[in-house]
Amino acid sequence: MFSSVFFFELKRWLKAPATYIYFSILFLISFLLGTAAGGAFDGIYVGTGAGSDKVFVNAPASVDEILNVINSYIGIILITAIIGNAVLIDFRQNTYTMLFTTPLSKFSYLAGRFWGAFVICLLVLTAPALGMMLAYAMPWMDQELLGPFVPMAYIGNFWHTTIPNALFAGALFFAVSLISRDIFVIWIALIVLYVATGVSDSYLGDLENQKIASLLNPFGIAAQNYLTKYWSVYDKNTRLIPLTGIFLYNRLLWIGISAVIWVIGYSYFSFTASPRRLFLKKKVLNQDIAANKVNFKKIAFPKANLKFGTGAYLGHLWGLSVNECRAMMRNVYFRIILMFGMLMLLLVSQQIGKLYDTATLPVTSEVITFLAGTFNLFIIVLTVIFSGELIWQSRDIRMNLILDALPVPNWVFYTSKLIALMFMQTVLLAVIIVCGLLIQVFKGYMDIDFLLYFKYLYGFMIIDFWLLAIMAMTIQVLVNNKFVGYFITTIFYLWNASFAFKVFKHNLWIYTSDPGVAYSAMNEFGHVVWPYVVFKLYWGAFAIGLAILSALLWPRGSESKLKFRFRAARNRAARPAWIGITASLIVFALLGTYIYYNTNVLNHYTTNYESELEAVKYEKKYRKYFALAQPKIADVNLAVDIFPNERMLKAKGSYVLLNKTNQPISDLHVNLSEGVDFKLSFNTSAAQTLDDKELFYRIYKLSTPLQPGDSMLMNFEVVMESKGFKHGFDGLGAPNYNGTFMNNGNFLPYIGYNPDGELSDNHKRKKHGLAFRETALPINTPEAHHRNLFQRDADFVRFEAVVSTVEDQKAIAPGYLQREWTDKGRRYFHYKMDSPILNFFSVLSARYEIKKQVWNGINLEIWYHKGHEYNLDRMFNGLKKSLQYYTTNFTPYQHKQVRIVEFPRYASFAQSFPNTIPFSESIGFVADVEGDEENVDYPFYVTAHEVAHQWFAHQVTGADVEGSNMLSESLAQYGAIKVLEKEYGEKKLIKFLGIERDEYLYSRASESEKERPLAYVDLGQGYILYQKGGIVFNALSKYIGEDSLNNAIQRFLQQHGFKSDPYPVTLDLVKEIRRVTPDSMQYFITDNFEKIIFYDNQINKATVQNKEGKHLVMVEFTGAKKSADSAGKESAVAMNDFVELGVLDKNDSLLYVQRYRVKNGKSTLSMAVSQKPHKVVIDPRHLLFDKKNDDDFKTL
Amino acid sequence: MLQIRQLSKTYANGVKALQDINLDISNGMFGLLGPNGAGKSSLMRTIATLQDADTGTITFGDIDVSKDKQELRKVLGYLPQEFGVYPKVSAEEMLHYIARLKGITDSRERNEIVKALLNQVNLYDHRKKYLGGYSGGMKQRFGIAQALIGDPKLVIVDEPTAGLDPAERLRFNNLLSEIGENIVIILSTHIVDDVTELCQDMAIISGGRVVLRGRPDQLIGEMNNKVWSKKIKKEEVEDYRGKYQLILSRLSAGDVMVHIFSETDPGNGFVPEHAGLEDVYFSHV
Repeated sequence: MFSSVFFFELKRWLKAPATYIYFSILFLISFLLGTAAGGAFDGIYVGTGAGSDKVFVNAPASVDEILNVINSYIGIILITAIIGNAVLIDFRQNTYTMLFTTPLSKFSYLAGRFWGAFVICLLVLTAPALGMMLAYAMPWMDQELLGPFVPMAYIGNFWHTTIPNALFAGALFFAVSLISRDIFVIWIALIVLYVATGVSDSYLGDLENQKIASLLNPFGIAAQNYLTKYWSVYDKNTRLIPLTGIFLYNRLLWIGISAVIWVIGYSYFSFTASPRRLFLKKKVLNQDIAANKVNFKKIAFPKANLKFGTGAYLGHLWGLSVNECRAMMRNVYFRIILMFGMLMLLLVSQQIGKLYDTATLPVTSEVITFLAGTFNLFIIVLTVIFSGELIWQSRDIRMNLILDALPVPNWVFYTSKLIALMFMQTVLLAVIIVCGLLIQVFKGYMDIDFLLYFKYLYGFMIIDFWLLAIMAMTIQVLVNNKFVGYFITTIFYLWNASFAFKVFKHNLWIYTSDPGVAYSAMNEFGHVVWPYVVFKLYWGAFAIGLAILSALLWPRGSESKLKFRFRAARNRAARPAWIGITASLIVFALLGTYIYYNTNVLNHYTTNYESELEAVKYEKKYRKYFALAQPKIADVNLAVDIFPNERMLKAKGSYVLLNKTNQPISDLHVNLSEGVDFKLSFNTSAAQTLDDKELFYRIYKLSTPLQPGDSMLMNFEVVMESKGFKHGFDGLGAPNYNGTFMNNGNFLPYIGYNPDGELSDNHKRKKHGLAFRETALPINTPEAHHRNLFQRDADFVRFEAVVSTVEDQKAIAPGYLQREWTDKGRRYFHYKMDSPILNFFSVLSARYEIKKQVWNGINLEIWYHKGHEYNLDRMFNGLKKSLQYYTTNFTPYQHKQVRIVEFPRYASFAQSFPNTIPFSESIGFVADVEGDEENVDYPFYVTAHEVAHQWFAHQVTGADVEGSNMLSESLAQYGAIKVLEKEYGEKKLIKFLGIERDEYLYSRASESEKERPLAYVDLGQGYILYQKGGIVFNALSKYIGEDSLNNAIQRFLQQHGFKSDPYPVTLDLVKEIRRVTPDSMQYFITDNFEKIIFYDNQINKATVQNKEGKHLVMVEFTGAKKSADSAGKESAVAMNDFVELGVLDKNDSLLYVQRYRVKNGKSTLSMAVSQKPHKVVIDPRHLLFDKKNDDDFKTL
Repeated sequence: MLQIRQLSKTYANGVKALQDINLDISNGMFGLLGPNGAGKSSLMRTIATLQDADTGTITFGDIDVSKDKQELRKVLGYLPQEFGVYPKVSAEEMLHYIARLKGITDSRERNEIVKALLNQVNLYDHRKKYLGGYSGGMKQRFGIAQALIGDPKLVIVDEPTAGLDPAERLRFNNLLSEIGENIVIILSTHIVDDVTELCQDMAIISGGRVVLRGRPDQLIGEMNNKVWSKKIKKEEVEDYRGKYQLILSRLSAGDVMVHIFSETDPGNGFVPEHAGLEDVYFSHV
């Protein structure tokens, strides 16, 4: 019996065209995805996320990632369609009456149907793997991106991910369909699943919750990520995802849950016509006796006035829409979905704006962006579901023939459904408002900006949802099969959201695109409103065309094949519709032209590929001038006029150029910025011999060569205008209405060839026929020691600037304010620096409030946006405590003033310029440090880091060679860590270091070139500079002593401070550190600065005994040490190293730490502590790098 | 007056649903009789603007149906052969909804009409109840009520009594008989008695073709004195089928009662039978 049901189900699906449609689409998608990932299309790069360009696109990790995305988004629809409908179909088609009266057993029926459908799902779900395999076997693939073919990657994924996930989703939807016999409840189950996964994943960001969150993710993806998150490039390329540890437990757990769910559904089901009611009993009316009396009189109905025509139809539309919307709101399922949505939003609200595991205050803009971001997928899923359900409603209920014969035009039906869908989206956005207000009030935050909710949600966000609604309905109308419709809509959405841009490379071709919106408290929506409106009108016109087309092709009557509907659409009555479509397409084209004019004619737009070509051209043409002797900037005098409302900047000024070489210079090379007009003149006669307007390069021939030691004056006049709008989001690239932040690199000329303009990605270089290029010059390149890492065209310069802005704003630049005045409605500020600085400065302007304090004769100022007072005291504290530490332990501060200046959240960083620290709105001004005692005071911390740069960068600057950025970033990180420790204690520091270590281990896995040892780090390897560097210097301070280390740093600063000839390199600092390090610890310097070392230490067993009032802790310890190469390939090395062992009390506070010298392999360690120990931990202070942390401790 | 000219329709699977149908239907109740699968519903749906014929025309008054569906829909009342209802909507709400879509924009008028209709179909007492709880007969009565909204000039009722018990069928036919006579009402059915009871004019269609057309009494009259019956054994049926022009055979207390057509007395124990529409029907399909 089972087998006959099973094979019947199989045959039914094998005969259905939908099965083959699903298979082909999945196959095609993965084939195309694979082809794109394999670099077959010039200029289309699809990063197979595994993170790094160095990971092969067909490596197990990449294969897994692509398959997981396809399966969890698209596969799940398939499972709903096939398994969710396996039994429902009998109720829809009334075949249940026949089936339920046969001697078929319940088990055979249900199990047969389920497994039949399940096998079909699995067959269809082989398509993605097959498509990818075929793609990677194609001859046109970029062979460099491909590793060896690993069949187990595909088989393994199918085995440990595809099958269990299909089983889980299948069992869930099947059980729900058995219990409710209603497709809507299946949708609810799907949504609950999304919500549950979303909520559990949102807690993944927190280090401490990662393990439990990865167990709870039903699809195992989080567990897989957890298991592989520290995998290096080498690991990813060679290892299969192992079915072990948390991943195995996750799989077993969810297979078990699937079985339980299945059994619940099974037991609930009975062979009856109507389902057991979940809520209320359904009343069946008794036969009405009254109807038996027959009356033979002819009836005279009251006469009715029939009204037709547009007016009446609009009336119908109103009535129908009200009906549809009311039905939506009355729908029990919709209400349940709304409740789940709210639950999800409230649950994830703990994570708002987290940085260093610390949330931000529930400021309205943060709350909205966070909630809206979280809810986005939810709204999209509901839109897709309801687009189909609304269109199919009358057909599913079989009332369509009655309704279709009514004298109502198609567009009335269509529009009423569309309005219902849009209404639903409107309601969902209202849910965000309700939850947002609840969160704000509940957290006691009362500075609520009501209007912002409406502006953001109903002014901006809703338009995209409406456009999506129209697209989804169009697809449903055209496809005319509900589930195939869902399938195609989902694929369209994924395509449009992620791949369309890679293929089309211009927003003009990406449905619902816009240049981006970002809200900043300072600049509000700023200048992005107009381009946004234009883009939405553009897509709106297109969508109206789609809407009219959908109305025209609205399925009506008993023949709904597209062919018949197109025939009907050629009717004379359809003419106005075609006119409408044409008109909307004309508007679409006109607006498209207008957008193109703005983005590509008024502004310069290049695709990534075109930018590469430009970089290649630049290098090929001008690289030859790199070594050419050029003068250096020695003195900068500047007058900058900022026009915030016009988003324009004008600058006039001069450079003193000094020939520091020992040869005369006859050609002056100048690099200009794009989008800026330059007028250059000199105090000596010079002829322009080259003006490359494409690559912005000029050469001037000096009639009298500049002799060594001589100087000349270069005057410039600069105009930087904002014309129209740009293709992408343009935040800090030009002045803003309120919150301008520009640095000299944006608008001032650069002397000589700038190698930063070269193409750096070596894979791309090869494609373009360029030679391999080291990411930095070798450390022993003598000529590079005469220029610094940041500004090759200047050493320390004298600086003076007059900055002007509109009357209600304040402008700032490095230096001390000399004078402030107003002239003709503009406000002028004259700043002058008292000592030479790096040629690295910024100008800012906004409506600032200023708060001032003084510490030891140093003026402290914070220029902030009104309303952002929350953390000013923490920042002041950071300023004071860090100045205290650095002046005490290192060298004196070179200025008499430090100023923190807020800028809009279009970028989230703080940056240290001489005595001036621009600080983003988003990092610290609204942090909620007090919310939880676990929180990291990062406004304090970031301040300390930036102040440290006044020493590390502005006093001592590395040469233009590998490693040098360590001298800025790692040391600044070290300084801030020490200040943080002094202020908040070791426990907090340990938590902080834990986050940093995780970040280092995680980020190194996506290294796209080579991981370098700390002393040879690249300029851009942030995870080494900040995370590893900070941990290493902190470890040094513990191992060799804080004072010794600080002495070494101090000596380094004293020797190299403000020296430019030569600039120091990292090895100079390492040498100083070695001098203060005992012989026994020298290995530690080598390991940390010159190698990449990991430990794999573990505690096998730990016991505690009471001895003479002391607790004797005995630990069986196994040590291992590994050295990794630049790709992460590890080899074991001998170990005879210092490792700390600590005991913690119940509150996880460190009671006692002891250092041991241990060899690799097993050893027994012991220590006696006076307080009662709770837990024993290896390396409790996070001084070493150990990738496996769950075997590092034992609870006693 | 409904005119159907050379109407043909072949479905994608090759079934010839309609083959060169020509019919003129004037006011009054018109019966369309035919076995299952004869093409009745296809014809009905084509008249009701729900599908298009491959060739041929339908005109109703001045309206060319295939070209101007919207105009026909304004005067149409249609009860499909099989339909569902929104389970969570009451009869009254649903009739209001349809009344509005039929063009009755004035809510007071709508109220009166819906009330009158509910009374007429004896659903007034159940007007507030959800349609999901209605029995088959009540649902059909609701169906006819919605079809009669808005003064239709053409009412199409497709197999309304299929599946109803005898009492419900009676009730339903009474209802139909009460609809005014100066509009065109087309009743499609495979139940001969429906036509006998209700129609002044009829056609029989079979295999997509009109095989007989006329007034029921006339058609019966033509058969008068030409139908003979006899009770025989089951085994004899084949023998008789060869010998006589057998119209129908029906079981009768274990034996078989056969009707044959014969201009003259066939003898052999046959007795004259009072001809009915059933005899007309079976001699043509």
